[in-house]
Amino acid sequence: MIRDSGTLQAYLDGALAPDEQANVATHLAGCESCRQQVKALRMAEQQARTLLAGLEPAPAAIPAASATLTRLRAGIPAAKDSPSMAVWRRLNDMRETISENGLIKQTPLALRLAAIGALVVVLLAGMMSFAPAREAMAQFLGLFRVQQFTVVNIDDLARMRSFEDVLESGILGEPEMIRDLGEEQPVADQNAAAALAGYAVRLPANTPEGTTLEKLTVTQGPYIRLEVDRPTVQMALDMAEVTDVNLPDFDTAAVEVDAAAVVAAEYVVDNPYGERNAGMVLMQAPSPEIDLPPGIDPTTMGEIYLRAVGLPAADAAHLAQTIDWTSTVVIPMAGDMGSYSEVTADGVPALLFEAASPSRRGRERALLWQRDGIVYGLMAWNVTDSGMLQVADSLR
Amino acid sequence: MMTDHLPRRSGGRTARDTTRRADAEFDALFLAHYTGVFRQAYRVTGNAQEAEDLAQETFVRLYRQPFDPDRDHNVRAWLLKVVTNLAFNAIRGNRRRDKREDAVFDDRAAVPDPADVAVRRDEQTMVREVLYSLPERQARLLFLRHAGLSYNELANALDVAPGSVGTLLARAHTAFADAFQEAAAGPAGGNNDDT
Repeated sequence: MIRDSGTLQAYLDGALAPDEQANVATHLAGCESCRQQVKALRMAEQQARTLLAGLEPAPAAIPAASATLTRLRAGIPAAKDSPSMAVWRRLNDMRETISENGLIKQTPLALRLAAIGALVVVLLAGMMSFAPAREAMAQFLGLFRVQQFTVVNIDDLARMRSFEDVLESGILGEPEMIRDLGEEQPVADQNAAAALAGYAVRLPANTPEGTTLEKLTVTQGPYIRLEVDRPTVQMALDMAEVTDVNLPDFDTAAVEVDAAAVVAAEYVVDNPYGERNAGMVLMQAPSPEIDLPPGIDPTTMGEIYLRAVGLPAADAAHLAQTIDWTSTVVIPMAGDMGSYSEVTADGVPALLFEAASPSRRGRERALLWQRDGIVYGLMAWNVTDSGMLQVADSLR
Repeated sequence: MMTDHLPRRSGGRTARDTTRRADAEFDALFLAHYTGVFRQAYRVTGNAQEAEDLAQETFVRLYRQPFDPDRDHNVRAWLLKVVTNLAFNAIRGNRRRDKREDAVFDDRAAVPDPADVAVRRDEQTMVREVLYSLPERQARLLFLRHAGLSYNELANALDVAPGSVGTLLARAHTAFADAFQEAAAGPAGGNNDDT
C-alpha cells in the first residue's frame, strides 16, 4: 500500500500517533516506492529550511526588546503607538469600573472643560499616531461636543506629556460608565444606518477610483460620568506643574457625556491588481450636549487648560479670551506629532492633520470638520489630500 | 470626595490595580517574545524598519486582547501567527505600491532600509520573491513552520484540520523547492540570464 505524501511528511516530523508512526515505519521497510518518496520529501524540506535560514536579520538590526518596551511605554516620539495604548487602557478602565459601580444614572450636572481638553490630547495623539485609529476616532467623536476645532501649537512637549501622564495616573478619579460603549452593529446601507443611528447619515457620492465601501457600522456611544472635587483638581494641576493659576470656586464638578451613536464607513482603495494598500474611514456623530455648572467661567477654565498643556502664562491668558470655550475643541499640537493645515471641506472650515512619520500602514492623515451639528472625521492612509477632500466634498 | 479617590488608588482591588497586573504580564510577554516576533517579521519582509513596526503592532494587538490564562501557554504561536499575517498584508501593499503610481496614492510612505548589506539583500530578495510567488497560504505555512510551530499550532494558525498539516507541508516544501530551482535557473528571474 502506497502512503500519501501527507502521512509520510507527518511521519518524518514525528507528528503521527505512536501506533501510526510504527505502522508507517513497518511499511517503509518493505516499500521502495515510499522510501523514495520520503527521501524526496526530506530533500525538499531540507532545502526549504536552508533557504529560510538565510532570511535572518543581521544581529545588529534586531532592536533590543527592553529598550523597545521602554520606548513603547514612555510614549516618546519614536513610540508613536503609546497614546493609542493609553486610549485603550482608559477605555478598559471604564469598562471595569462599570462592573464595580453598577449603572447609576445621575442628573447631568456639568462638564469640566479642562478634563475634556485633556482627553482630546490623549485621543487625538492616539488617533494620529497609530493604526487602530478608527477606535480612537470613535472615542474622539463620542466624547466631545464640537462646533469647531482650533489648534494650539505647543513648544513644551514635555509639559504636554506630563499633563497626559497626570490624567493617566487616575488622580482625577475613576470615570463611571453609566452606559457602556455599544457593540459595533453592521448595517446594510445608508438608510439602515440612519434608522439605527437616529440622525441623517451622509456618505460620499464621489470617491477616488478603486474605492469600495467595505463595511458600514453603527456603534452606540458610551455615557460616561467623572466627578472631581476642587482639591483633586488642584492636586492634578500641581502634578502637572501648573502652580500659577487660580481655580474657580466649586465643591464638586461632574463631567457627564452622553455620546450619540457613531456611524463608521470603512473604505478600501484598490488598484487594478485587486489588492489593498490604501483606505479611509469616515466617521460621523452628533455632538453630545454639555452644560457648565453655574459660577464657573468657561474662559477661566480654558486658560487653566491651556496652561496645563504647556502654553506660557501670557499666551494662555490672551488666547483664552479669543476662544469660544463652549463650542470649540482646542487641540494642542506639538511639532513632532505632525502638522496640520486649515482647509475647506464639505463647504465648511476643516482641519487636515498629517502624522509626522509614516506608520506601518503608511502615511496617515485625518480631516476633521463639523456641519449642521454633526461632527465628521475622515481618517485615511496612503490617500492624498485631494482624494480626501473629494470624499468630504461629495457627502450626500 | 478626595478620600473617596485617593485610597482607592493606593490600596484595595480597583480597576487600575487590575490594569497594573495586566501591564506587568504584558511586559513579561513582550520581553520574552519580542525578538522572535521581530525576526519573523524580518524574515517575511526583509525590511528592519517595517519589521519593527509590525512587531510593535503585533504587541499592541496582544495588549488589546483580554489576558486569558488558558491562552497564554500558546501566546508565542498566537504572536507568530499575527505578525506573519500582518507582514503578508504589508507585503501585498508594498508590492502594489511598487507596481503603480497614481494621483490618489501617496508613495512617501515607502521607507528605505539602510541596515541591509547589498549582497546579502540580493540573495535574500531572491528567496523572498520566490516565497511571495507561492500561494500566500503556502508561504505563510513555510514561514510559520520555520519559526517552530507544531502541527497543532499550524493547524490553528491556518485554520485547517490538524490531519491535513502533513499534506500541506509536503506540498509547500516541494512547491518552494521547485519554484526556487526555476528562479535560480530560468530567465524569468532576470539576473542570472546566460542564454
